[in-house]
Order: sequence, then C-alpha cells, then structure tokens
Amino acid sequence: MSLSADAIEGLKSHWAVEAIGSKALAQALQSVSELLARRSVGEQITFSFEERPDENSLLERASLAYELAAIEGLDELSQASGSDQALRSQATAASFLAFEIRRLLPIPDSAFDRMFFVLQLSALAYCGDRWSDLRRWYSENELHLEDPDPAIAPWDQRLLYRTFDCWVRLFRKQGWDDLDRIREIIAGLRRDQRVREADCLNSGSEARKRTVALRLAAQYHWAKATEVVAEYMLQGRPASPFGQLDQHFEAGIRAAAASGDAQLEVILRWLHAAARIMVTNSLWWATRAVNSRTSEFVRSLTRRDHQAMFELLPPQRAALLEQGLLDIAKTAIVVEIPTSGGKTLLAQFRTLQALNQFDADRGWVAYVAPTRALAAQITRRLRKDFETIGIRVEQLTAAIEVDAFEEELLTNPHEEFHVLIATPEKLSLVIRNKKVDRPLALVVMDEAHNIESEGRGLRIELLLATVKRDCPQANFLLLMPFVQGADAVARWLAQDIDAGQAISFGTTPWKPNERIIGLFRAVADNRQRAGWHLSFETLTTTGKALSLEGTHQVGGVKPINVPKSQVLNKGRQAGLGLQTAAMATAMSARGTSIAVANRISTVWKMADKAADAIESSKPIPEEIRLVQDFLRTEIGPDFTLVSLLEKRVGVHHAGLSDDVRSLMEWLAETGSLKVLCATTTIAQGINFPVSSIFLQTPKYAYGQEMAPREFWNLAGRAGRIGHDSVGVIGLAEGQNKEDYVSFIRRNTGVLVSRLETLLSDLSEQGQLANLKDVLWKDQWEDFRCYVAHLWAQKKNLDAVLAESEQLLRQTYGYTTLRNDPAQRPKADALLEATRLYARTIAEMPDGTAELADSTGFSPEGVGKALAGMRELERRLTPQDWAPESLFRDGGTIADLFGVMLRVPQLQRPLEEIGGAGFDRTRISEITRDWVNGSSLERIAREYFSNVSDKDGTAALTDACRAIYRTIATSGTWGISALSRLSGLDFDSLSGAQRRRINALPAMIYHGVRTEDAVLMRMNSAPRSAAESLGSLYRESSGDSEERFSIGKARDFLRNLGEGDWDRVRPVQAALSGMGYRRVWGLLSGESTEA
Amino acid sequence: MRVAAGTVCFELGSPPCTGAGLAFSESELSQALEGPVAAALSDDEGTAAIADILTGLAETEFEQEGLRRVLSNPESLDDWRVGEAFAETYLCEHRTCRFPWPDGRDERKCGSSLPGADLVGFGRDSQGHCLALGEVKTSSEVRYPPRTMSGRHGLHGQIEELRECKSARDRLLKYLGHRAQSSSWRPMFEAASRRYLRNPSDVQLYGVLIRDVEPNRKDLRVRIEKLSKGCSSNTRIEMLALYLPQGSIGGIGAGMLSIRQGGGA
Repeated sequence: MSLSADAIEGLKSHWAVEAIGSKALAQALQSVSELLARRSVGEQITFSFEERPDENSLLERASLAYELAAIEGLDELSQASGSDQALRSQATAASFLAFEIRRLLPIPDSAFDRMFFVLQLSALAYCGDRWSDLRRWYSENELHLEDPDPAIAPWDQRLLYRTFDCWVRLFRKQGWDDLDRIREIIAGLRRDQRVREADCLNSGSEARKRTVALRLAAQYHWAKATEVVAEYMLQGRPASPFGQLDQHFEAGIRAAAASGDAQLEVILRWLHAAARIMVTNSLWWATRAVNSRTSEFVRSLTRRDHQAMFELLPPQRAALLEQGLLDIAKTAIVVEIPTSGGKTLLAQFRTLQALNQFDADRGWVAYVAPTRALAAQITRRLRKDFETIGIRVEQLTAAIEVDAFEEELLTNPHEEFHVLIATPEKLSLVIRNKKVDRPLALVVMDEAHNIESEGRGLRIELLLATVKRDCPQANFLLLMPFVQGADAVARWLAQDIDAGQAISFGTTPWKPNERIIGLFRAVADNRQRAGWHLSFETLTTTGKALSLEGTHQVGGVKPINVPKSQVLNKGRQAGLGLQTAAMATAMSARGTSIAVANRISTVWKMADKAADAIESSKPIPEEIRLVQDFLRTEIGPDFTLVSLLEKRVGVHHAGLSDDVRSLMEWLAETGSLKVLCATTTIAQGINFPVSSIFLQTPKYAYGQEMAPREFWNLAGRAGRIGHDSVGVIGLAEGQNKEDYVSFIRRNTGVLVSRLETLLSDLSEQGQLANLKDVLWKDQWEDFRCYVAHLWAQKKNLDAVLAESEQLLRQTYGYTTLRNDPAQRPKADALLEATRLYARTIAEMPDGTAELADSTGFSPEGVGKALAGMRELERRLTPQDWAPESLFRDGGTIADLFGVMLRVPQLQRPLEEIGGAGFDRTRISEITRDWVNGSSLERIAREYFSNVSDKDGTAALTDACRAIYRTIATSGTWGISALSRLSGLDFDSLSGAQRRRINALPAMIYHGVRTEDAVLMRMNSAPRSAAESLGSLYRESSGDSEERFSIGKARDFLRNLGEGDWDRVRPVQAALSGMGYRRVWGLLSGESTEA
Repeated sequence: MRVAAGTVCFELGSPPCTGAGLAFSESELSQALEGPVAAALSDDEGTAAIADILTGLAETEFEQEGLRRVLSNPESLDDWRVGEAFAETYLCEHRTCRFPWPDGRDERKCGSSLPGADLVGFGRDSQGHCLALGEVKTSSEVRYPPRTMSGRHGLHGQIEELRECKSARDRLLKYLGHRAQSSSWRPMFEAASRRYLRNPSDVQLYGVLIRDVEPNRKDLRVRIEKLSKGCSSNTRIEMLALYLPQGSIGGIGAGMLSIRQGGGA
C-alpha cells in the first residue's frame, strides 16, 4: 500500500511524536530543510539561515520518535498482508520521516557502527517508500559503503562484513553484475565456512561457544535470505519468494535473539521488512501475472548495460499493483504522475499489455508526443527497450502529410509495426484516412494536459474524439502531470462508465527529489568596481518545494563579466536574461543548469556570457568533441555553438535543427554540459533531468504566461533521481515580485478543455448566440475539420445533422458542458453552430470535405487552394511535379508557394519567415537550395545576412527557423496537399511516378533531392552524408524497387561499418566515419556497440 | 520466596549518584538461589527456539555439523550468570525495576554485538516509569576495588558509557520497542519512552558488583565520586556492591545447574 499524505498527517498525534512537542518538531523539520539545502548547494549559495545550537541532538530525538512509531508497525510490513492496515500505514509514514532526518545525521566512524547505520538507514528508506532517495544517498556517500577488510577478521565478523557488502549491492543495484556478484559472495562464504568456522566455534567457555553458534546460525539464515532476494531481483525466481524469505528471516531473528545479539536481531527485523518491500517493488513482482512479452521486457530491462532497472518507483508500483494500470476492463486510463515519476515505463507496460490483448488481430499502438523532440526521444527509448523483444517501433516525421515511404511503412504487410510514434497532427491524418487497416489497440498520449493549450488543445481533444468514434475498440492511456480531477477525463474517454480509471499521485508525499524555489535579483556590491552579485530569495509559499526562508547570496561578485549597469539600472532590475545566465553559471558546478529566456536572441547572448565566465576545463569530454565535429560538418566550422561548447555551454531553441537539439539534450543528459541556454519552449520538450533551472520570465515569446502546470512540469526536471538531493529553480524577479510570488503559489487546478474555454470566453463576451459567426475564425479551424470529417464519412446532410450531437458527445468539452445544467446553453449553442456549419459544407463543391480529410486543410482552406490552383497560368502535368523540374531554377515550386500563401493554415507560418524582400520567390529559392544540398551556413549567408550580425549567428538562426519551423512543416504540408488538389490523375501514373511525387514533401522536410537520401534521413542519417549514403544504398540493393522501405533502409544503416561511413563522408567533413556512425546511433536510438 | 534486602554495610554519595554495600547471609543466598534467581535462569522457551533454529538450518545450504555439535553439548552455567540473575532479581524486588523478558539464556551477553547493557527495562519514580539500564560484574578477587571495576569494559566504564552515550541508550530503547508491541509492559514502555524523548538524560542507571569477599567501601567510593562529576541531574545512578558469603561464588553456576536439573545444591 502506498504512502498517503493522511498517514503522514496522522503521525502528528502519535504518542512518541507528541512527546517531542509540536514546536520542537517544527524546528526539527525546518532544520532538515536547511541542512539539506546547505549540503546540496552550500558551495554555491551562501545561506543566511540562523545557526541552531544542538541541532543534531534535536534531529536525533525527532528521528527516534518516528523510528519508535515505525517499529510499532514493523511486523505489519514483514507480513504478507498486514492485518492492521492503519499500523502498516503508520510504519510506512514514520519510516519515511525517520529517513528524512536520519540521512542528514553524521555517519558513525567505527566500522561496526557504520555498517549498522547504513543498513538501518537503507531499511528505513525501503519501509518508507524512498528507495530512490536512498540511491542518491548512496551515490553521495560511497566511501561509507565499503565493507571492512574481512581478511583477518574472525569468521562471524567476516560473515557480517560480506553480508553487509551484499546488502549494499542489493540496495544500490548498480546493474546486473553488481547484483550477480552476491551469488558469488555467498557461495564463497559457504566455501570459507569449511576452513574458518571451527576456530570460531572452538574457543572460550561452553557458554561462549553456544552464543557464537547461535549467532552464526542467525547469520547463515541471513545470508540465505540475501541470496533469495538477489536471485529474485535478477531472475524473478522463485515465483513467490516470500515463503523462503519469511522462513530464513524469522529463523535468523530467533537465533539472533537466542544468542543475545540484540543489534543483529534488530537489523534482521528491519531487513526482513525491507526485503519484502524490495520484492514487491521489483519489476518481476509487478508484472508476474502478465504475459510472456512483458516478462521478456522485464528481463531486458534488468540486463541492459546502461541504467539497468530492477524496481519500480512508488507511483509506478502503485499504478501497476494497486490502481489497475494493466486491468483490461479499464479502457481509458489517465495517469496523473509528477514529472520524473517514471511515466514512460508505465506506458511501456500498458503498451505491451495492449499488444498482447490484440495479438490475434495484429493490433497496433499509437504513441502521441507533442513535439518532434519528444517524439524522437520516445522513439529512441522504445526502440532500445522493445526491439530486443521483437516489438517493432516506427516513428512518423513531424511533417503533417504522410509521405510515400510512410505510406509504405503504414501498410506494408510484411513488416508490420507494433508501435507508431507520431505528433497529434500526423496521427490525426492517419486515423481520419484509415491509413492502417489493422485495429488500433491503444493510444498513449504523452503530456496530455496540452488538451487545454491555446495552440493545439482543440486539435488534441478532437484527435481523441476521432479515435473514440472511428476506432471504438481502442484503449486510451493519457499521461499528464499536476492535474486535479483526472477521473473526469478518464470517464470521458471510456466507452462505458466503469471502464475509466484515473491513477493519481498528485497528493502523494513521494517526490522524485527535493526542490528549492525562489526569486533572484542583482544587488550592488562595492567590493569590486561596478560590482554586483546575485541574491536569491527562497520562497516558502508552496508545498511543492522545501520550506526555506531568507535571502541568500549566490556565487561571488560579478558571476558573469558584465558591469553593474547592465543588470541594475539606477537601482531598478535590468538585464534579466543576463541575470539568468549568471545564476545558471554560478550553479553549474553541481551539474547542468538550464537558463531559459523567451527570445532566441537573448538565448545566444546568455550563452555567450555564460561561456565567457566559465573557466576552460580540459580535457573536453569526448561527447562534446563529437557534437562539435557534427556542427562543423552539418552547419559550418564557424558556427558560434562550436566555440560555446568548448566551455561546455549549449543552446536549445527553434532556430536549431531537430538533430542539433537532440544532441544538446543528449549532452545535458550525460552531464557533459555545464549550462544549457534555451527558449521557454523547452518546457514542452525537456524530458531529461538537470541540476537547476532558471527563468528570465514565465512568459512565452508572445507575452502569454505559462500555465502553472507547465511551470511545475518544467520545474520538475530540476534535480536528478540518483544524483542531486535538491534541484534549484529560480525566476528573475525583475519588477514583478508580487506577481511571481502569486504565480508560484497558484494552484495547478483541474484540466479545462480548450473547446470549453472558447465557449466560455464567448459566453462572457455575450457572444454565445453568435457562435456561427465566429466559427470561421482561426481558433475554430480544427473544429471545422472535425465536422468535415463526419461529412466526408456520411456524405449526406441528413445523416450528418442526425449524428451531430453524437459527434459532439465524443468531445470532452461538449460532454462537460452538457452534463452541467448551468453550462448547458453553451453546449446547445455549439450543437446549433455545428449543424449550421454542416449545412455550409453541404453547399461546398463536391469532394471538399474528403479533400479536407486527406490534406488536413479546413474545408475553407481546400476551397482557397483549389481556386489558387485553377488560377495558375497552366495546369500542372506529372512532369512538373518531378523533383528535377520542381526544384530547378524557375521551377514550379514558386507558383505552388504562391497558392500556399492563400491558404490560412499555411499563410501565417510562411509569412513568419519574413526578412527583406520576402515573397514566394524567396521561399521557393530557399526551398530549392535546401533540397539541392546547400549547407545551412550558405543559405543563411545568401538569404538572411545582415550587417549588424557580425558572426552570422542571427542569420543562421533565421535560416534554421525558416527551414525547420516553416518550410519543413508548412511547406511540405502545402506541397503534399496541393499535389492532391492539383487534379493529377494518380491512378494513371506508374508506381514509380506516384512514389516520386509523394516523396517530394519528404525531400523538402529532410533537405535532400533523391528518394534514397530521404530514406537515409528518415532513419536519422546526418544530412551531409545522406546523398552519398543513398547512392551506396541504391548500389548495394542493385537498384531494386524493394529498397523503398524505411525498415530496409534501417537494416542497411545498421549493417554499415566504420569503413563504410568513412567512404560516404564528405572529404572535408570534420566528423570521422566513426563519428558519423556514433551520431547516427544517437539520433536513431540504434546501438552502435561493436 | 524473595531476595532479602541485605544488611547495609556502607552508603556513599548523594543524588543523583549514590552507592551502597549490602551483605547477604548464607541462608539469604540459598533462599534467593532456590527461588527468584532460579526462575530468572530457567529458559524453556530458549531451549525450544534452539531446536527450531537447528531444524531450518539445512536450507541455508551452509554446513550444520559444527553448530549442531556445539548446541547439543550439555548445558553449562557460568558463575557470573548467577551473579547477574541475583542482581536482576534484587533490583526488581528492591528498586521498583522491571526487566521485561526472561533473561535466563546462558549465552546472553557473550560477545554481543550490541554495545548495550546487561539489564534493559524500566524503573519507577514519582513521575512514573522511566528507562532503567543495568550493568553487572561478578568478582571474588581480594582487592578493593577488584580489577573488573576499571578499564573501558569495567563496571565503571560501562556505566559511564551508558550515561554519556545517547546513541547507545537510543538503541536500547528501540530494542525494547521491537518487543513492546504485544507485551503486557507496553504501557510502561510508552511512559518511559515519552520521558526519554522529552529528555534523553531521564534514565536510571544501575551498576551492580557481586562479591564474595569482606565488604569494603573502597569497592565503590572512588567510582561514585567520579561518576557524580558532570552527571545530569535528570539521571539517577546507583552503584551497588552485593556481598555474598565468602567463597560462595566459585562453582555457584554448577550448583544452580544441578538445582535446575532437579539435583539440589
């Protein structure tokens, strides 16, 4: 049973805790926070806490009180199902708090006391559901974990030392070998017994001999129990180890008691409970009743070289064992889990279960990630974890259209995928157009709280509604942090009332790690000329962070080299980006710090100042060198980021390619970066832990404030499981102290559908009755597409009108409004407007709704695009659509961009490219050069250079944004859609012609000009080698048509050796053949181990 | 039958650290040995536990022969164990102490890994129950004080350790906690723990020296003076020298064993 906040609260009235007194107890808990802060970040932050005399003695008393409360219920934790749940909860809660204190107390010096201290602390951690905190304590106290030298110790002590070593291994679980060594150690003890036991048993009085014999009996039972736990953690065998564990621990405890060895008896009591909990935490136990696919998965997790996994975090265990994550009767599950709580693993288990459930029908799972970066991260992870067990994982590009190769991937009966990773937009197109003819078993929606986001919320909600309607057998798993009332979402998605399940951990006392949160500001410091320093005011206003009071100095004078005037302007706070960079720099000694600003130009400036302030440290990690070579090769040798990386400073924003951003994330994840400067959009993309996070502002680039949920999601990444005890989060105070304090205090609240928000806004403006008149606006575009989809299916006005309400009932917003009498008028208005809109579609030319469905345009967009195509000077022929004519000088691409600029869905993003002389010609020239292999540096110079931008960084940023954010999405979408609206008779074309036209968007997306190179890029090969790799691929497959398969191309890349990569790399490339191979491995998630 | 109160030979010190020498006659000793001391030393439960422990040992896959041989040897009873039982019963009857579980296992205390106390239980005063800890030494040495009083493991050192070392007292309290849950003495434990949690110096410490030589205040005098220095006023220390008839300690264990086995002293 998981630890509850109530159980923690209930402890306050326990007799032992009451004896300490509430005032002293509060003081003790305050000391805990302060000590933790000092220990973790005391080197970077000079805390201004008051000195507390007798602090340790108070902490010891408080810890003792909690331990006594824990001891009362310890027997309950050592039993199969405790008869007294209240006592069990008490023991868990009390252990949780005792660990909280005891981990901060000094470790005894004597070897003997130290071993018992470590074992006792570890047992407390397990009994209190805090193994992840214990792992962190272990990594911070490695020196204290060594067992004393057993060589000259008497036999009973030798046994103790070696068994201690085994338990250290069991608790820290540093991979398979670490645990597997336990078997060898115990076997070694059995061998040693033959030669060493006799001496120990044959000296002293008879009474002494009996004592020793009994103590040895206790230790043999302990050793055996140790072996049983280790075997179970490694192999999941025996199926139920509890019988053996109980038998040996109980016999050991009896023997220790009989020998009068109270300390041994006590520690065996604790370890008995801890061992039981360790088993129930294990992956094996949580999945014991599931299918063999899951067992294979667990086996692969326990055996992997990097970050082997053996046990579940408390929320994961609760989800699997207590809250029915794998209950097949639950068709819709919403998991509300704190950031870093391990949600991906839960999704993996549910995925395997769904695949198993739909095995006979060859079902598939859709995994929806909100951004390309997250989709790529998930793909890499799932591939790594699943491909060893024969689960095929494929990713669709973030381009909105489905290209020729993706079409092949979706439909190829010989290489059926099991899991498909896609953005919401892409999945929407796949579902609406029934691209996969196998049943959709499960939709996993990551970061599902985006359902309330202004930009894409409606699209996501309607995607889920479409899945509900079009794939009635599909199950749902929604993952989201910090959402109250997640059960309402589960009920909405479930096909019947009892089939929805919300799994919520929002109120659990368990935390992935501790956090310090505060506001920072610049303060004049006259110790230096034009001096200043950073001051950090810790906030106590939120339960989500350590309660710390005071204002503290961070770092020294001038943490970055800028004069006071740039951060303090006549006493007013200024240069908040610089202050943010300074915070990140000052805190970077303890691990990667992220500095977040809302504009790309600020990000570059922050990175520059941070790099300037950070001392060079040689040698530069090999990971940094690799990425530098990649940047030199793919972008240009003078790219600013190359020199920033020399100081271990990275950047992450929309002005970089996905590949570069993925590599920045990898560097942060591996701890190679000291500072990562990023835009606010990283809040959506960060899926890796860092040490600290500082924000210039909680606002996005366009002034819109982050939702509290988004802020806490980002903040949750500060502090790494297994590393830092405390993550630090800071916000630049600027002139907004009060606002930011209340921002941090604000509740994350319930999830509100974007549809509901739109209607509520209208209602507040008294415009509800005019809904039909605003339905034409951009924010309703996705809704119009949703209605058009029904029309495309029914093709009959009466049928559409009859089903309108059913259609709306699939949405969360309508359902919520309709079920609330006070909100009913909004629901009615929506129904009325939907029906009116259906009548409008009925009046549109035939096929408009179908084209809307197939292109993803709104019906109105389809109309405008068709008109544009009609107005072209001449009708385009299949030859015009060939890459060589489309992308040649003066090719048809410019005309097509002209049409795209008339479609509202494309116009806005395309116009964002901006710059001098912006028009369709310029976009088409950039596109042409990009496809024809121009380097980013050259495109930047050609189209975006600016005299004030001396090093060309701004031009490169603009070029990257134009290509990756606009041309690669809107441009490819437009080309794909226009090819469908062009009137081309696809049926009359040859297969090769059709494929080439369908591959055009992918060429634009990936910046290559051949189909073979597209296939290489789709499999994450760097662009600079894609064409030559493509040629090699074509040659090696004998020009066979069968090579046009993403899977086959991946196999080809997998089989390339270092020499092959050497051959395909451009002559001048800074990246070696081995480097290319390594980068490809990183980006694709493929193993490049020899 | 009870343990006699003994005849006061000398009294030393003043609160919080006091001491006394008490002499016992032959008949008083016999009465004690046949009654409460024998009861304190009997241990049917412990004997049964040993059988249990041996039964499951095979499954540990360690060799069992050595342990079986030692544990099946005829029981023996060291003289000092009888001294300890005498001290325990004396404290229970004349000092309101309660040491909760049968402390009659012969093996107890030999090389225990718990740096603790021979006697762990509760005392009582005007404020109710508190933690009581005792150490016992038995010596026939004709020397005042006997060597067993001095050194780190001597009686004085042990009492000083219990007075100074809070972590040792904490451990003993927790040890009691593990056994308190379903016991009849749980209320005593809770009361004593409350007092201890409020003030970890609020304990009673007993140092008992069992002798069979002429009573002599030198056995305790210097130790009491030393222990009273720096002693918290919340801690009560009492050092007792219990003088059994001369020459009665040698062989007292074997004698007790034959009483237990139905022989007679």
